[in-house]
Amino acid sequence: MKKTACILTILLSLLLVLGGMGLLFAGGGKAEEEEEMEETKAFATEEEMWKQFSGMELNFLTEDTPAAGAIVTLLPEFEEMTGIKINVTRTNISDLVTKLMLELGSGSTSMHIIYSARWQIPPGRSDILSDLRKFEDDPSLPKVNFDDFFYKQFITTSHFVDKERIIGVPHDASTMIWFYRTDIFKKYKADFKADYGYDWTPGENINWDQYKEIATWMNDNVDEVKYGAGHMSKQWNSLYCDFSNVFWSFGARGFENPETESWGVVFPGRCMWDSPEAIAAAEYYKDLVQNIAHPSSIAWDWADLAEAMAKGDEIAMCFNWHDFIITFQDPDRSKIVDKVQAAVMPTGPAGSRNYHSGAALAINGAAPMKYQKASWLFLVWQASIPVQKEIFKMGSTPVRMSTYEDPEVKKWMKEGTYPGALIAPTMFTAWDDDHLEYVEGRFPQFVESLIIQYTELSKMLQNEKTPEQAMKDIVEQVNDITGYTDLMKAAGKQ
Amino acid sequence: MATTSERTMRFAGKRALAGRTIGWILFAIFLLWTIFPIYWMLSSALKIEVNMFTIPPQWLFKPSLRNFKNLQEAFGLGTYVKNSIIAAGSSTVIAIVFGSLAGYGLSRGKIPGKSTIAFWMITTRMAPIVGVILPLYILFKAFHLVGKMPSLIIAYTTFNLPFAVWLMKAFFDDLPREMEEAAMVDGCSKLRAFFVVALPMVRPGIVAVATLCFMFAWNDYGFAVVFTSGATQTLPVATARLMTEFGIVWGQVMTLGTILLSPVLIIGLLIRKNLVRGLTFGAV
Repeated sequence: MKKTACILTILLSLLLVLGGMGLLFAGGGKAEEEEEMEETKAFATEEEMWKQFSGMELNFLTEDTPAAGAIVTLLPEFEEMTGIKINVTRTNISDLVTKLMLELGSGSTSMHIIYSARWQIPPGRSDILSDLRKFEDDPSLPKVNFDDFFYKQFITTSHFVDKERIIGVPHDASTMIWFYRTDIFKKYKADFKADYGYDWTPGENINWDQYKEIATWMNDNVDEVKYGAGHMSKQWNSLYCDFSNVFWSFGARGFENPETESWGVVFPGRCMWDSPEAIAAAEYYKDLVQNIAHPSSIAWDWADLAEAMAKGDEIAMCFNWHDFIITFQDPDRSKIVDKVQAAVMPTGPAGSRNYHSGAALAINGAAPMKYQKASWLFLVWQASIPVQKEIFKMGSTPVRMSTYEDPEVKKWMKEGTYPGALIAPTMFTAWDDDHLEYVEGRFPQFVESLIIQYTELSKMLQNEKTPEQAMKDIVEQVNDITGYTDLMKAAGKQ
Repeated sequence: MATTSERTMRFAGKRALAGRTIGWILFAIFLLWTIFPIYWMLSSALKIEVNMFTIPPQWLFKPSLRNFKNLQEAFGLGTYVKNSIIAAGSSTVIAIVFGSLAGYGLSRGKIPGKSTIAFWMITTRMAPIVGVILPLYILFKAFHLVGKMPSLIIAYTTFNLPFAVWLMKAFFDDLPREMEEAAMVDGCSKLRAFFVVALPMVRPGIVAVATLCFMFAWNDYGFAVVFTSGATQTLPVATARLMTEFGIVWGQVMTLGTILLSPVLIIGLLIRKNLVRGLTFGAV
């Protein structure tokens, strides 16, 4: 009896395993070759063009952002215009990446339109994203006009390695800027100038040494807040972002391959975090965080930092993502409404560099061509000026440049009607070529590299390592994981 | 002058009093530790976010329903509540119906290798959720179920059903067979004896199993985040949405937490007698 039961159990288990393997290999895993586009002609009217896929349903997976919120608000208009129903799934970035990796890795086509964060998705799965050039060139489909997005954003969110292949339409453009309390800067301006002899109004006129002076003076003289400055120095991505503003401004570089942070590369070359400029940046940052900034800085990420700023009595200034203006201007969440402004980062030897991290919307290349074309309609629509204006109203900043030429938008900017309008002038400066900096490496091992970098930086801030040692250790470990060390060994150079 | 026995009795009395006092103090600490977070969550749900972090904390304040209103109007709370009820409720009903039948069969039936089968069933419950998400995803993808409610119900049932079978088998094992045998002698079939005699007698057990199955499904995040999409997302997934890259919307998080906790708390309070009896059913 026992023997029979044992044999039965083994047989049943084998059957299940074989069945599972059958489903596994039947379900696909690799993307199919891109479907050939049929030859198409232009429609007689625009209405016909937009209605050509009426009756279809598309699934859109996105991070929960102000831009996504704006799109959802206007979705009924798209559905009425096209007859296409859009099912939106909004989630946080970690869950989004999990779902996307499952989706794209299994060759599933249940998600048609996806939020493509530039450093998480393209380096891992850019081959599965549809080449959008064929839709832009198709006479039967509307055009998005890629020239109307600011160039650096377009490079990094819409390409990976291949400079011709376009894999996304720019969607959002989070950029780090310098937020400060206008009431405090106004009240104590004369006193500070009497002590230091210069105007302390934030902007690129202020260098990093002056930034320290301002923060220190505030620690000692400003009653409204406990500390002048706070930073997002938690052992996490936030530490990397915050440090990068200093790093790049000091003239340091990430990797040997100059296209690592822009177009993206398969192999970034040698990690350059041990250069004299990089070590100088690390020494500066260590002193700033340990001796001048709010002591809780080492426990704060960007959300915590924004909350501290919004509380009103903790810090007078911080570097943070520009979208946080929404939080600072929300009376339910902030005690500093109408008391905050923004400027570009302080200036270092390489100028004022503002960390930029944007995303695009992409199309799942494994979906049938009809669904891809219908998805293109959605991508064009979300980048259109009416939707971009709605994004502006929701508090974020549009990525289509011609939006800012719209008379109504100009009026909003002049009057400061919406939170985005308050900081729009700063954003234009931050986005120009002299100020914008892409610091996230776009190569396959970037996530592992990021973890190494912020872990070692955190050890430096905890006094476990000197700045020089931390930077050298970063270089050693990153070179290992990118394969640079092995390459040098093979070439007999190590 | 007090005698030795009087002194002993007084000392024993004082010791008993000291023991009771310490017991009450420890109980009060435990109660505070347990109830304070719930109080804080509820009170935060009724505050405007900017007032949630004031030092000193606001113990007395004017309550506001703004968080509830925002969740209802802008967030689509109703859809998430409906999805959670459908997913948790459906998987619980399936688990109870089939769990009772299977548990009874394993308890009373003369099945070769039934203890092996029962053990094999419960081992599936031992697997961590993370370990089964990928195989289930592949299965659901093959049947075009990803993003649809049936996938979530099936996923919950894969965990709830073995658990229900195992527990119901234990409950039926503890029932005396004589009552069912007496019913069968009187002309009942085995199935009728199950429905008329055995099932009513394990009602507390059914209540306990149903509550535990519902709680697991109601609180689940792992399955829900992978297998659902916009229209089928449940409350735990909705709560995670409030932890945005641009800050945690604390007011709404606290409100959702209150909503998540409430049904389980209310059900637990209503059926606590049955729950305790059910959970200790096999212990006597």
